[in-house]
Amino acid sequence: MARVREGEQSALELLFARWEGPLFAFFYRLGCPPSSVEDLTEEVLVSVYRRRHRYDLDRPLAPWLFGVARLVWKDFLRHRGRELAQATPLEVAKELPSPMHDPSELAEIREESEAVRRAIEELPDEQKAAFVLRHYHSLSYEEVAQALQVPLGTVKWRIHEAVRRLETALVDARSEGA
Amino acid sequence: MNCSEVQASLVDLLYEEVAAEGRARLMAHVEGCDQCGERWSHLRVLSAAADRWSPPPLPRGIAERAVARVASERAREASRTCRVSPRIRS
Ligand SMILES: [Zn+2]
Repeated sequence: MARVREGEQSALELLFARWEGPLFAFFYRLGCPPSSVEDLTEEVLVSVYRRRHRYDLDRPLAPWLFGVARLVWKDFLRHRGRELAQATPLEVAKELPSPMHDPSELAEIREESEAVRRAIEELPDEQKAAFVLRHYHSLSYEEVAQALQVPLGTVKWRIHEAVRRLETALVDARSEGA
Repeated sequence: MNCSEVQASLVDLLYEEVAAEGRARLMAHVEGCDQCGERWSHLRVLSAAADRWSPPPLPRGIAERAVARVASERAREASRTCRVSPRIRS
């Protein structure tokens, strides 16, 4: 990031290449419409460049960068409306069958994964963002708090609440399957 | 530590937000208690189920487009600086 600030082209290319995947995954899991996920990712990368002088080089990059992503996301929700974000059905990710499981076990695992995925999609936005950052991007609670600009206790509550909802969904899926 | 205290900490245990000493005490309880053990194994299943949700393959060209936009912004900035600087010098 220091070299990006100095205007080094190769550092900028490396930074963008390093982060396009995680940012794309972030917006995808937040439930942004597939058609917008690419644009949002690109927007964050450009914003990161524009804000490069605001980044404190002594601090970890991920929370700051996801903080920029959060601003872009909020802006998107404000301007394009929630209906759009919710109306478009998400593409279901394909799962690779694991050779370790027999077919019935595999079907059960698939159902559980489906149930959990749907439950994540249905989480309130703030809980979803906190959960996605902790679970899929391995940010600590403290880093999630930095990224989302909320107190640590709020992050902890959101993650606990999100997990509680997912557990309920999982238990329901199991009792339906039984 | 009683069961409700333990269960209130299991999510933090899952997400590595419990210091080593607390972690050892929680695990000791979880291993000896059916109810907490079951909740813990639920959380592990949940976590593994969430792990199986992968995003679609990354489309090509996002970073490249962002690099191009930055380059054109830089070019604009540079041309502004060039127009202004001769006047500053004179
Ligand atoms: Zn117990």
